[in-house]
Amino acid sequence: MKKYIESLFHSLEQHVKPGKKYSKLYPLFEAFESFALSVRTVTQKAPFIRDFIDTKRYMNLVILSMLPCLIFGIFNVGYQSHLAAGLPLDIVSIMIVGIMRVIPLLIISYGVGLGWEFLSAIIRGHEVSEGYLVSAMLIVLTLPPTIPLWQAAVGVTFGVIVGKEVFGGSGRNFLNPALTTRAFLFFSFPAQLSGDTVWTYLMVGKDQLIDGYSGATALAVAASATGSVTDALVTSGFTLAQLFFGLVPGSIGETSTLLVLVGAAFLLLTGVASWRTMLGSVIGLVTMSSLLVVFSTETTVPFLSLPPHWHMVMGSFAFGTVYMATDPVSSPSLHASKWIYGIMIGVLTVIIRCINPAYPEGVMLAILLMNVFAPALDHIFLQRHIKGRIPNVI
Amino acid sequence: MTTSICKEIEVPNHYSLALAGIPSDGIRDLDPPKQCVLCPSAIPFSKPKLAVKEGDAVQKGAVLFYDKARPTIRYMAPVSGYVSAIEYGPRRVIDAIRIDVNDSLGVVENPAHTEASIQELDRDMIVSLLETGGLWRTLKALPFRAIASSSVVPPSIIVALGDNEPHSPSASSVLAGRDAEIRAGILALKKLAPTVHVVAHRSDTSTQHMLSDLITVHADGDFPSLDPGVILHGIKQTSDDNSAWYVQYQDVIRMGQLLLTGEYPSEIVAVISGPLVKKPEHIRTIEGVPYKHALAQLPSANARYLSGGVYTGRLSTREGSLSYSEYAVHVLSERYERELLHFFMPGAQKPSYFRTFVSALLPKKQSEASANLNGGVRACIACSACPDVCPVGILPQFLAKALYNNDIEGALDLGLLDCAECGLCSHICPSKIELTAIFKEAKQRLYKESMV
Ligand code: SF4
Ligand code: SF4
Repeated sequence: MKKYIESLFHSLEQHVKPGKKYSKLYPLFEAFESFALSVRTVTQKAPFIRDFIDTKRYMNLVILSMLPCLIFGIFNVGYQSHLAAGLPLDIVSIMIVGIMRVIPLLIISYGVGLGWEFLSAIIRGHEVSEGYLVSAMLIVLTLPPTIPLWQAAVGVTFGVIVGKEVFGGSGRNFLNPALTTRAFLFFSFPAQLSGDTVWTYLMVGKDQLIDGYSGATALAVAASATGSVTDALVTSGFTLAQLFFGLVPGSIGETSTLLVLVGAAFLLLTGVASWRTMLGSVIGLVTMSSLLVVFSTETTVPFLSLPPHWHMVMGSFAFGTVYMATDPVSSPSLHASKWIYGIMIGVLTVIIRCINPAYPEGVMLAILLMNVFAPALDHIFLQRHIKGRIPNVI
Repeated sequence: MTTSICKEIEVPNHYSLALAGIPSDGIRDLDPPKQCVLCPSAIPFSKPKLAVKEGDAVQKGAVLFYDKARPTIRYMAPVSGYVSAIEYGPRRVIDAIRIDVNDSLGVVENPAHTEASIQELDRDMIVSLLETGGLWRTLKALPFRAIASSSVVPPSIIVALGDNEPHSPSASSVLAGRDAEIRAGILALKKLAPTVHVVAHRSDTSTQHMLSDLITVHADGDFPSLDPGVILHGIKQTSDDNSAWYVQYQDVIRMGQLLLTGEYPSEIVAVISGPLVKKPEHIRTIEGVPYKHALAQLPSANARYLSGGVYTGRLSTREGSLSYSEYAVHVLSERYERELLHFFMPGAQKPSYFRTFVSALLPKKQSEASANLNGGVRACIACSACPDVCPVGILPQFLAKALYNNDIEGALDLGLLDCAECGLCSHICPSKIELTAIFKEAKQRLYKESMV
């Protein structure tokens, strides 16, 4: 098997080598070859030995960490759909509904996105970077299960091209491409991405829904609550436990705080994501929402009085903090700036959630906003770093 | 007692590579080689000018070639014999000078001194003894690591008693029985600069014991804690200290030998190691010894020969040799079994700086050195790992970006000239960016500009 693959690539290589007819396609060849087989390249410059880590391994671990969310997401899409329609809740048919909905989205996200990546790699003559393998998965997990496939394709295209390629490709982009896609869809197709029942994939007509079904998300309930927010949430079926375990309507892969925590544990154990960013974000959220609780009165919006632990399990906060905020390319690089970046994401999430009723989901905007400020944060701390060195100039 | 006056420095390197092939302690005496090979092209920053031609007879200690720009920097014949071949590489660089050994030709004799008479010599006399003796070339100046200029008085000279790059000769083995020579060498260095920092590794108790009265700094930590640039970073107080000089300790011993005997000291202790070497060990031999002679069995094709350590050494070939002041040779394999879908594999056999392989959960094992890049070259993924391994507190990813944008001012601010060229950042980079090479080349360009 391996012999066969090796010889297949070897014969293909003859056509894409520099000077050969299809040499322009070399990046494409390299992408597939280095995916299938470990590289043969040897070091040419000191140091002559190198670590076993490569970007594929790195990205692969991030994807692995999202698999629990994906599998649960598939289940939850089917489950919510059956629940809304009053259909029997047997696991097999639930999973089939979920698979039928999520797999096409995965295919669109990977297919369309990688298509653009390949095209840009060929035009630029660059290697194809592995970053998109992660972005594609993130995009699917953040999409509402109701999204039409064509909208997903448009969003992916926008995310890759505007979020990444116009800045010079992977590594030079300052926005997270997955979030760019999400934000683009949010603002371009408000009819599909806001409103009441959009977060549950319905297989039956609205008139056939079970009584009392609203389909609103926890955040929507909290934002429109009058009186006690927690009461409103619990009455709508959002108990703390349910929000934590994730059996609620919402984006495909973001609902379960528990499984996000599993992924976070994996990312931290393998050291692939920054614990500073994650912890910073949690600290920011807890501090800000506690402050709001303290200052909330009878006359303020009820959402302000929502205690921190509710904030943590609602919406995409956990998912965004663990998978989106920690994207190394769009977050700052220095340890100190990572702290500030994380804390600000937590703080802004609460502010956007509670104070701006138009966008109850604050994490996405908070992270995008901080993506924009990341270079500035690094700049400030870089100046401090330089001041701390004994100058060595000629 | 002695430790209290010593400066203690700690190298913040969080990664120690446990490389297999640690050489055994004893030193094997090699038969004298029939031929010695010197490689002028391996010397950075120099334009060698030949003083001999093919067929010439040379005495041990006679000039083979010198630096065109600074003719007092001389390179000597380590043996007496006949120049059998001079080999040129691309652009007429001199790749090799081969000398067929013939002991009947006699040796060049310089004045011999005693410790007391060295004490009497002044700076200029020491300079001229080292220049005519062919060892001035061993004195290097930071930050560029070019050969020092005798007209400059440096703020200090750093002598690290040892080298912990995998794998280098063990200091205690090399120093054993060399007490008089190392002392004479350090005495001479003290004439060249107001301060000589003599550095021992904290774990090297036998060296500390032997030279306790001379040692002024204790360094702790793994490679590159004994690199002069790293030591300087640990001890420097002001920018004036940046232009310190350094010498390898084995060269200090050889300086002592030169001064005490008057004869060019061509004996060296070197290490042979690497996965393709059957028995990693210390050898005592002659400068310029061909690998063919030093290695019992010369590994076949697809082998890579490195003169010096695996991080900072130089790429050589099967036909190569241990040239001037090179004290290690490594032989690595260049052929690899390719692995199917390698990045999905648990990787129990893959030691890594990152905790991304199952190996992170297993007890630390010695790993085989390999010349494989282990991945494709990519844009920086901003993993922020490189600053964590840099021993001199550089942020390599930012420094590389500044150089990429041709921002030399910015690069200098970020500490380009502090870079010890140790190779750790390149070693661990998941995107396989040649960080060290980028910094080294930028420094070389700056050096050339500062010369004109
Ligand atoms: S080579 Fe890299 S790790 Fe080593 S000193 Fe230079 S910047 Fe730091
Ligand atoms: S180790 Fe490589 S990929 Fe990581 S931050 Fe440094 S340069 Fe970038």
